[in-house]
Amino acid sequence: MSQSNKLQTGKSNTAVSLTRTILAAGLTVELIYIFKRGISAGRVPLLGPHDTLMFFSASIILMALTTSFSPTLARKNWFNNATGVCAALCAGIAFIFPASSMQMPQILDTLWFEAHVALAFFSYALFTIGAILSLGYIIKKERSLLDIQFRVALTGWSFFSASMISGGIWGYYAWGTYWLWTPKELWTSILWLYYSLLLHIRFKGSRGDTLSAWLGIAGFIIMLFTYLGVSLLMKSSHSF
Amino acid sequence: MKKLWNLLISINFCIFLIAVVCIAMATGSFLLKGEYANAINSIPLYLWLANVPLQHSWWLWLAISMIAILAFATLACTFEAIRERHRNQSLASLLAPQLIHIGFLLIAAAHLTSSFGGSKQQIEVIEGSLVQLPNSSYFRVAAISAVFSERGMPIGFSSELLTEPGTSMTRTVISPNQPWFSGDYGVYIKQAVTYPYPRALLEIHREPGAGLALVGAVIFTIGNILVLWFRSKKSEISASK
Repeated sequence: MSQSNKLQTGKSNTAVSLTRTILAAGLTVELIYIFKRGISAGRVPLLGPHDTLMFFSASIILMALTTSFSPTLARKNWFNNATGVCAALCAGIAFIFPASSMQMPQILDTLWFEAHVALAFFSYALFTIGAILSLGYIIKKERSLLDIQFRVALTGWSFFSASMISGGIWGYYAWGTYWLWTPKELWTSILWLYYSLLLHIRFKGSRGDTLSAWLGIAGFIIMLFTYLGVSLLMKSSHSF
Repeated sequence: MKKLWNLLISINFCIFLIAVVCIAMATGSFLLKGEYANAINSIPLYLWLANVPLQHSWWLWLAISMIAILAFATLACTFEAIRERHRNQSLASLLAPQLIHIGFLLIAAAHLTSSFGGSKQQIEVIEGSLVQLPNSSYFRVAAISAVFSERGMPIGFSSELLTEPGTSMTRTVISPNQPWFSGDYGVYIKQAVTYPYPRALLEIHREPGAGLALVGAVIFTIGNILVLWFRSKKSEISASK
């Protein structure tokens, strides 16, 4: 390796370490904020757009930090930057909404509800990271990015499936049914089926690469609509 | 017959079916409004489908038809995958995705069971009310309590029931998230007030697909965890290369 290449690699490693440190610091600040919100509200802070957007932001950083150690992404500073911007945007938007001081309704006061929400946001975070990797593939045409996108989507889909199962168990104890026909449940099923479709595209081999990347980006939009669009705009069992 | 089989096991056909289900459900989420939206969660699904005009329910007919074909395609793919790969793959790694498929099919079957045999009934009770369930078991409402915040918002309520599961009376407290089950039936408390006198709104549910859905969910989760485990092993091997 030439001297200039070594120098460049060294600089790039330093930049990656620096952005990772910033991400970790951001995550620490957010976790402290979430913890303080929980103490002041006297409940798990997972109600309303303010709390959930903050939790979503923290989940993005947590999942991004975990993913960034994979060999493909270990030296890609743009990945840390992009996920950092996404997390910062979510945290910023959280402050547009007032922090709810509502007491935890009795019907939500169960571990099944907490597992349902937390797992859903871990999956949303992974779908966001999947979209960033998809965009990376479209711009840079590195197939290894698509391999990670697949693994991230599979893990996100698994979290989402677990969230749906815990939501079903909670619904059965709370409402007498594990399923309700409301826009939120419909869009939840759409999102789950959509990512099932995306994972099956993999069987098409390299012919499906570009399609898979674009679907990864579209998945992020469907996820955003399922989370915010349905809850804010439609009458549903999960309305804010 | 061979053509039909090839169609069922084709990945493009599977993708097409999933896409149509997604589009039908997305359209339905905007069409489902007003009295039909209220009714769909109050009566068994097959009754809703039988009574609601097609212009309001076509999306659900389409989604259900596609899911039914998808169920056959899933079965065909599962069979084909086992037949094709059983010599080259370990049994566990071969079965893992198939467990996900089986879990999905069982959950779909659970929905079908609930759409025919499910029921929901609301009753208002006061302390002392005697209620008989459709399966002939009964309970008496012994007490109703409700707690309100300073602003008058309900923050908690519960009811004590005297149930007779056999010969001796048993006291059971129900509250949101804590129903009382008697056979296939669940008794849920939905609302309670104490003024001018204690009364509560109870719901009696029958969800015959719940057990099957739970079995499906467990099988699905086992398959999912195995798939993730085999994937991580595969990544470790490719990273070490």
